[in-house]
Amino acid sequence: MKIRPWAEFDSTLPDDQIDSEDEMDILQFAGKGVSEALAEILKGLGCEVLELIYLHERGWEVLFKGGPRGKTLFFIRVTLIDRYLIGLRQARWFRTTFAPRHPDLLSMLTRLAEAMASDERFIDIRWFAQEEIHSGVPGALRPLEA
Amino acid sequence: MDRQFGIGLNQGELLFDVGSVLAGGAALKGLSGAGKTAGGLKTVEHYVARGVPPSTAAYFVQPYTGMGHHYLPRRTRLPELLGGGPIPPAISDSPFFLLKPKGIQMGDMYELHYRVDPHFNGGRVPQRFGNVRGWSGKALGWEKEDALGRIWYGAPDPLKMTAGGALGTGVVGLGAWVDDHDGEEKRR
Repeated sequence: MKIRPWAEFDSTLPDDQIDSEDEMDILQFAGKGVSEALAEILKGLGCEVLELIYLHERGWEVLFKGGPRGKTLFFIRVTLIDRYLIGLRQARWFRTTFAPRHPDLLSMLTRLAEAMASDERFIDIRWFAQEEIHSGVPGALRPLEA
Repeated sequence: MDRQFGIGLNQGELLFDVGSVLAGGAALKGLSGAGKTAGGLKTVEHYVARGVPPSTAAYFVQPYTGMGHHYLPRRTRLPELLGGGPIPPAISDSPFFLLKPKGIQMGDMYELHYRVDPHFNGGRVPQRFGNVRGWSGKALGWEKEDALGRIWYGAPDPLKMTAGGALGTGVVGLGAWVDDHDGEEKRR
């Protein structure tokens, strides 16, 4: 089974990028609205959202606790490029390094994907592995699809 | 990025070159060369020659105005023993942990950021530049660093110098210790 923790999609939420007055610079990169929507979904899934973090050119991150006991630390990176690109990751380095296929991650991915698929704000969602991002492959309909 | 490397060469050439060899730095060093102004800044032509669309290249040559690369990710939380909250900005935004080379251009900083942040894949450009689709590091042929490269190239110079200084002190100290003990052996 291949794990695809990255999703690309369009959204009905407004493009919230804020350019400078002369439009030569970006004062705030897009993704706040999508991050807030994801935070809302995560709360609905019983997760504890700790913080929305602005990362300038890298977009936004939603930091939250989830998993069966609600103690696993995750984050979702949100960036608007051509389409929105989000990635769900475990936030602890030892989990990422030594347990990249931890059941908590697989469960969270499945639940997030199901919730996003039934939310009309997210359109044409496709899931990717890291190496598949912007590679031309069409992406999968589910993050844990074979 | 040029400025970052320049500082490293001036203040610790040996240290920097050792790190470059360990982290496969030849590719990064090869970024400099043709397509620069007299002041050493990259030109639009430089980026276009590397496959960047002209509209995006015009944005990439602008001075970088972002927050830089946080060596300690902003999501990092202190251990519960220390309160469990975010790392205080006095630490995470200090020159030891914030990589934001002085005078760096958008394109150089974005590429550096792309290389050292495994979760950064691309971004948008302001509307005036006319590229509404943004840029993708993969599409531009940029490469991600491995773990060692992220540790090295993601570290601000003051941290490298401190770590290098500590390493150097350790090596010198070890050398002195070996000398001392060698001397003891000889004295016996």
